[in-house]
Amino acid sequence: MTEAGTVLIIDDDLFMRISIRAYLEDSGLTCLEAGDGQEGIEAVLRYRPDLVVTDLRMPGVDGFGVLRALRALSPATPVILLSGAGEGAVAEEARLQGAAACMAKPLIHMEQFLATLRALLAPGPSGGNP
Amino acid sequence: MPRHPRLTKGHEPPRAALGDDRRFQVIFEGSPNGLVVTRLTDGVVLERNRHMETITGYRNEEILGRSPMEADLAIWARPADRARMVRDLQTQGTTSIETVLRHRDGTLFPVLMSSTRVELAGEPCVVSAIRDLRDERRAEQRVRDSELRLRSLFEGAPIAMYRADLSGRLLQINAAEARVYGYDSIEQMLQEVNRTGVACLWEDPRDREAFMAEVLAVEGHYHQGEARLRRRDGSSMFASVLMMLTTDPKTGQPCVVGFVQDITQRKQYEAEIEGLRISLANIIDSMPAVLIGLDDGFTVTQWNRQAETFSGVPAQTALGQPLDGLLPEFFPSVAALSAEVARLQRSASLERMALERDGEGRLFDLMVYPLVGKTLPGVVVHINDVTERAHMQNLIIQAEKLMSVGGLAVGLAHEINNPLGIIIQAAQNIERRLSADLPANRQAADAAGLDLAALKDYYKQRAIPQFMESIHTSVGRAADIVARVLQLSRTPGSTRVPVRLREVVEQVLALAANDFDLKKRYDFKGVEVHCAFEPDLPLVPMVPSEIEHVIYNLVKNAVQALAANPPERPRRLTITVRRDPNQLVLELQDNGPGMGEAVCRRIFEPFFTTRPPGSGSGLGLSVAYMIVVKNHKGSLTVDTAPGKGACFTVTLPLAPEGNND
Repeated sequence: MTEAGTVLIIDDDLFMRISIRAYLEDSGLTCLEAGDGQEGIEAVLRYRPDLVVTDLRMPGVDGFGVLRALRALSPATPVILLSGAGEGAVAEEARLQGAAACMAKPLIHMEQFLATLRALLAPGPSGGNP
Repeated sequence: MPRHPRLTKGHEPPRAALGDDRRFQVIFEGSPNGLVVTRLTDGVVLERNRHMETITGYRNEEILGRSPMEADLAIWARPADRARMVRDLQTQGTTSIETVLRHRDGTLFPVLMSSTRVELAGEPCVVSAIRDLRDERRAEQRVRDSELRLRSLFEGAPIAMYRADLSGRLLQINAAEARVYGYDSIEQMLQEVNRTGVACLWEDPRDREAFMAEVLAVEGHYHQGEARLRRRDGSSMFASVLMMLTTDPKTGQPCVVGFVQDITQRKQYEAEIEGLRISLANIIDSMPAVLIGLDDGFTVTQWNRQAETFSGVPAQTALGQPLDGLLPEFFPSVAALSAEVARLQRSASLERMALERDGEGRLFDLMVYPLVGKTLPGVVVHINDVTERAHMQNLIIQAEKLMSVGGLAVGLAHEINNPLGIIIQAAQNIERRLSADLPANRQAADAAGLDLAALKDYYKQRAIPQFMESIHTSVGRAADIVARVLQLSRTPGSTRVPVRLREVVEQVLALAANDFDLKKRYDFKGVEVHCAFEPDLPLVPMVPSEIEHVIYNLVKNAVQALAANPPERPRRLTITVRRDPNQLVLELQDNGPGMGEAVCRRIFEPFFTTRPPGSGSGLGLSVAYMIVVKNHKGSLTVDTAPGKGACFTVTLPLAPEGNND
């Protein structure tokens, strides 16, 4: 396994961040955390992570807000939206706004989540830095 | 002055003069005129009957043997008249004069005196009959007065009157007659009309002929009718005409007397009133509610068209009948409300009154209100069948309930999905960190002096993986429920495509046959499924996966219900699809136990279930409802009763609003 990449996890729930971070780090990825949207955007600008995983519903700047900001400030950084309200309309909206993926909470199969991340981190036409 | 024999009672008349003829005496005394016998030469009264006492005021004893010319009597007010009479009698033997006599009380009065010269006992005498003319004069005056009055009545009467001869010439008209026809004066009208005759006053001369035929039939019998007459300016008027055949007192010729009244305005009012009556009747008849008028004895005075339809009794039968014979089921309530109306002097009503009609329970709004204004006492009863409306209201309430649940679901899903995520992710982390696959695990185990293979054995021994599995399963189930609740709030985002509903049904049935749960627990194979699809059904726009879900849920619901049938009762599910003008109708009829009203009312409510725990989430029908009603603008209803099975009906519009296909 040649792991590479830094993932920023934005979620207002500490336990959510912990559990995702543990899984990703166990999988060889480096993780950063942010507790809300504003903090997340600042972290992206400062640390330039390779990928951002953000919760949708957060106080202040929400997941869509993060998405919109990053499309403008850091268009190359892929963003995965985690939605507690299923996929459907939210997923469609997320894709329209330029999210790389939209996944429903709870993440019952973490392997699938990991696979999605890895696909986006792998250098190639579907993602990664140019 | 010598006394002469007299003809009065108690005095025998002289035999030589009158004889003793008693009959003569009776005639003499019984004459309605005064009779007096006087001597021609000096006027001395020889005989007088009693009537003369009344005429002159002098008793016979005072006069007999005296001359009325004597100064203290002076009965002749014009003595010259007597001289003339004497002269006449001397030449002609008989005369009749009008003269004036003086009554004893001094009043003068006219008399007619007819006299004849006779010889009595060789002496020239005069027999005079005297008639008091005062009564006659008075009668004449009365006649003159009444003629005058009649004329002024005729001329001044506010009603138009005329006299015409049979040839149609006006003989006489009054001012009102000239006025009503628009002539300036009586003379002008007489002159102008008589140039051609009265026929020119009629719009249609045949009307006049008809009138005349009636009038001429019987003299003195009047004929009245209405006709269109023509004014001087050519305009037309409606008139009430009364005509009578009579005789012209002057010429003795038959003539026609007529009265004319312009009723044009009255006719207009009548037409207006009639129009008003008709439009009122129309309004009352067009009312979509039953309207019944009752007098204070509950006898029907009004019965509108709806009342006819509702009761099956035509208005002409119902009018005048007591209400309790016509609508007995309503009578007690109407009577109770009427008592309240009488007491409070305002309307009273009952809402959603449940009544059995034609074996069907229905709901009625009943209102009774008092008749106000100058009418006879009574009430109006207003009956409105609100069964459908109440049903619709229930459906709307149900839909609103579901919508609010939908809104709630989004927030709920977020709040529950987060902890669920943490649980499941934590569980996966734990599993992962207990395995020997991760180098970090091995390092940590080495440092702690732990044999990971032994630990794995231990976990197996203590069934830890089983507990991990139960966490997985439970979180999965919870997430599934949350996902379904979320479906309630799903906005129709997916594209609708035209699909053959029949194919969806067949697909669902194939799917259901392979459903493990349905197969094993509910013996789906033992259910007789009949399908009836109308031929040439059109494609219907839908999100196929959603409608599939709906039908699947309905089939599952039916199969689960059928499981309650006793073994000897065959389990049957009939699925039909047919076309209504603008929609497709899908019906699923089962012969299961059916449902009571309490269950039926809540059947589309989320989490409402009659099945034992674990058989379902209680969301299947609510999700189906939302998909059909909200996402597809169709309808989902159920018709059921205990022991009668259940029939679910789905309608899908063929051309939905906002169709973006």
